[in-house]
Amino acid sequence: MHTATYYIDLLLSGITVGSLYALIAIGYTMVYGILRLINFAHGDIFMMAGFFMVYISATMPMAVAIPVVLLMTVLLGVLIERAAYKPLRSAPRMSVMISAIGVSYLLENLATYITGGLARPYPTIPFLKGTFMVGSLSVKVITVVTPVLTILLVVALVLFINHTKTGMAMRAVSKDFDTARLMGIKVNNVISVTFIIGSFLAGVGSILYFTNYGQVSPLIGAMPGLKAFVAAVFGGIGSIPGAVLGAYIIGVCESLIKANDSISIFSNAFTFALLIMVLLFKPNGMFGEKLTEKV
Amino acid sequence: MANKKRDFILSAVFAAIIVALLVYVDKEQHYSMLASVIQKASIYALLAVSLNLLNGFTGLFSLGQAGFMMLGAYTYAILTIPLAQHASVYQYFDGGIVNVCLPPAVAIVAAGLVAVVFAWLVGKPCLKLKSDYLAIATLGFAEILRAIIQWEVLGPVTNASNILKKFPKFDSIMTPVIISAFCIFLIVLLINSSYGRAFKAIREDEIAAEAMGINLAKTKMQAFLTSAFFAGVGGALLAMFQASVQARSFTSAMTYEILLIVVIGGIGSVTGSVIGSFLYIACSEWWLRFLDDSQTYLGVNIPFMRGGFRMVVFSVVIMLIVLFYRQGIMGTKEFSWQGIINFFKRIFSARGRKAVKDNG
Amino acid sequence: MKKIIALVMALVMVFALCACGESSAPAAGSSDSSASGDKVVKIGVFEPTSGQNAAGGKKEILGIEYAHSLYPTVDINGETYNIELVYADNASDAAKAPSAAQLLISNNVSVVLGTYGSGCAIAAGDLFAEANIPAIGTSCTNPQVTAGNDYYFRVCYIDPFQGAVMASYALKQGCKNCVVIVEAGDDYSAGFGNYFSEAMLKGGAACDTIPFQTGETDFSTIMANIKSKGYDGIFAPVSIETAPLIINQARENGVECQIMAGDTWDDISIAERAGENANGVFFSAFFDATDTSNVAGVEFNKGILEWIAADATRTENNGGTADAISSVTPCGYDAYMAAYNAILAAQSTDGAAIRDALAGLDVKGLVTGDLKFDDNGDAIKNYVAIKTFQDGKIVFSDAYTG
Repeated sequence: MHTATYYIDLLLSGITVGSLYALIAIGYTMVYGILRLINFAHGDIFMMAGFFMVYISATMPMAVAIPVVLLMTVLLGVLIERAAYKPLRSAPRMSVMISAIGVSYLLENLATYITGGLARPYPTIPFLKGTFMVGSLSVKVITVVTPVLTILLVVALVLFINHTKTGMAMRAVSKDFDTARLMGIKVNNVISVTFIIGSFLAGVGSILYFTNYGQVSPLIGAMPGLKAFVAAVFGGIGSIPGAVLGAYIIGVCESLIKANDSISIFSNAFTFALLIMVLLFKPNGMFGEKLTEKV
Repeated sequence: MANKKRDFILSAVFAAIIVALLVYVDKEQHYSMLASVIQKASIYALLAVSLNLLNGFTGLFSLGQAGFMMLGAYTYAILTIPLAQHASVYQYFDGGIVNVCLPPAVAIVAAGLVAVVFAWLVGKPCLKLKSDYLAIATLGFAEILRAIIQWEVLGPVTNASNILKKFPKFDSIMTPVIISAFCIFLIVLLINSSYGRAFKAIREDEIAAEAMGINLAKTKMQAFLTSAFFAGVGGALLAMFQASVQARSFTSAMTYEILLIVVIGGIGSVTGSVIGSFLYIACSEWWLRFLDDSQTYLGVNIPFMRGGFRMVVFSVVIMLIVLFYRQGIMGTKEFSWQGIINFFKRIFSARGRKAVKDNG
Repeated sequence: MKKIIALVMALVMVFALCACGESSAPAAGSSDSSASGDKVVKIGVFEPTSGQNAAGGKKEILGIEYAHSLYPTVDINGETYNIELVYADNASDAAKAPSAAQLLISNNVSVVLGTYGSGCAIAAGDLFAEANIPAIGTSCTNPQVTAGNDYYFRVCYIDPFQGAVMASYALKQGCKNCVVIVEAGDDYSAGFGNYFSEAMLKGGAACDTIPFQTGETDFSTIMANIKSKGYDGIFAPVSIETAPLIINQARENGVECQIMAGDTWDDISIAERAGENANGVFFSAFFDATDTSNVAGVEFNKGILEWIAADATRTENNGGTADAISSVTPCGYDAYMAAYNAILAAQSTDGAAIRDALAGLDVKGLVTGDLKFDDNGDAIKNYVAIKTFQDGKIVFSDAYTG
């Protein structure tokens, strides 16, 4: 009944959404790998990056605004880590998680307060706007740019982690926090680097995401954030290629579900059902390392 | 012995004052903010204590509270809407297919039981998970339940996207207070029983608890089901208080709100949760509402006070508690008159010491 | 450190308590007198100023405040009463609406105005009725708002009527196979969509419904679906926030069919965000400022635009412009005028007396036409303006009177 164009449309839409989840998921998976903390505020950092752009692009040209926005997003991420997570390093895990929920709550309320709770139009970034035709198919520029950029960034990140000294330190800390410290690794610096990378990618993701949809609202970060987390778990927490693959699978599945009128309401529910399935049958995800609970 | 007598007298006096206050508010100020806060806060106290039973006493980090509340609220609403009102409430579904109307008391218990059934379904696979995975899995279940309730196919039962209303409400502000107090009393009994000690053992150290002969899976399930039952009852009470139920309001934000109450009160303290919820509800619904209006003090207009400022202040206070005052109001201690007396003694002696220092 | 924080928090609490004592003092006293000894009658403004309907709520408040600036006092039994507006934000959330309603009730308001968004009105309606406080709906169009509630009235038309009008207009435009996109969990969206599709089916056309979840931003899949199934019309009774997402994503995904919507879309911000994609999208509205046969409307439009331009906050609340108003603003104005006239007719500040006066009210020449309530408490309205977006502006396209 449907034409091939229809399925290509669905696939493209799924891949775009998946790429955006992937950029957010990397932040989750890296932080979880190192701190064993679900950074609930990560989705809200992504949202704040969107608002930074709205306000900053009003005062300066886009070519300057983009780096400034990314810088501010990174600063925000590091600031949150220093202020809300670092003091709780020796506290029970539940306290840290509550702190993360608290930060998320704070950022959402702050954004609601500043914007008056209204969605703001996202500025147009000239080279990301527009569509072109491939045969009978109209394709948005951003649909092509998003996955390409995502893959490039992921490859760069994997190279960074596998081939630099800092990358090695990150791997060491995520293997064993205390031993790494004993080996003379400056754990706090490593954690900061993790947050810098995570926030930077969330910032890039936010530019692509909001350019695609054209507006930012204060509560927009929560759902993509949770889905990205599910992607990270799906791929195996701590594994970057796993998170990226998980994000694409979730993006495409979601797209297929939404295309079916009678079950489209379950698109969010599906993601969580997938999470529970993965946790039950393959608790370490598709590519996760086996973690043993130490006594 | 003397202390026991003193505590009994103090408690009796305190209880008498509370009852007198309630009777007065119910009679004279039925529509006041105070009455509204008392009702909502007592419901939230029950919800917070039920969450605390899991998070604080058993060490299971669950974020599914809103889901169980929603089940309770919907069960209560569906079962108690008067038959005559079905046609108007279920207007898009030909009056719905549920043709019963139970007395509220039965429906409240049913609300708890439905939550228990679903909690069992959720708990069976999920309770095995580690702390943060459990949190995210229960959060996910709450989202799934919400989508199911909004599903058009279930419309004749749940009214899908549309609001449920016209069911019986509280006829006196005493009702929610008494029901919540009774439920909290039951939870306290449970906590002080051998079951409660097993819960706490799991919280302190799962592996050690298991070595002591505690059946982990079974005990965790007991705690989870109990918590869900009271969350369901709390949801039913919330429905009665609000006079309407709609699935979209039972979001994870609602769970976070209750979690933050638990944190403010002190994780692992029943009285803390109760005090926390009265403080939180009174501030958010009443005392701090002025933060949302632009104010003029001494002729100066304070520019930053406008819509949403209240919630910012709230979140900052919560962050301060989480970071610097992790014990919350009560820590893991419970309320006792001796504690209050010691508290005042400490304050006065501190002041006394300071005075001595200043003089010297 | 801990002690200092504890001290600071204690101070905050004390401060809060003092402030509460201050602000609740008038609430505890009689509603008839303020500190200066003047007589006061309180009107509650039950509107969302946060959440997804905040933009609409703020615009209705503008209408109410403008009316208040014109009619700040009312004479009851020969005495002049100052009218005081008491605000409560229902946060666009049916769960928060009851406590906002409680706030108004505890402030002893005589009558309540609002709200934008049917869900909150339905959620709070029974509370007002129980407290014997009449409420006048501004732009809540779902029939459930007034059904079975003697104390809820409304100044706008209702969804079965609006749905039928939009369906007949869609049929006239040649739509034979329509799709309705509704927000699951939203009374307004689901209800209005339902009435529209009923009317379409009655008119011999096909009509499907696609629900989406609150907070959804990606409609590209739904659009691919629409394109593939070859629908010739989209009806989307959704919030202002979602509107540009649907319009933009439809056009970007190559869906060229007619897009239609209801009264919520009469908002200039949609035209700004959707740009030229919005051209030709049409929607129903309560009021048309260019209709010169409506004398009261023309005068109102001129007056309120000047009033809005005079103050930066008002301009911001009107969506950053003082060139045009949305049609929900006149609804706010008319609701205030209904309350004002009812208080005059009742010669009382008592809720029950005002309710009876409202039931028998017959006011000519308000901004959205004459006002008279039927047995349900719904305004008897037969006028629907149909407007469209044109190059970033809202223009009048047709009127339906029946």
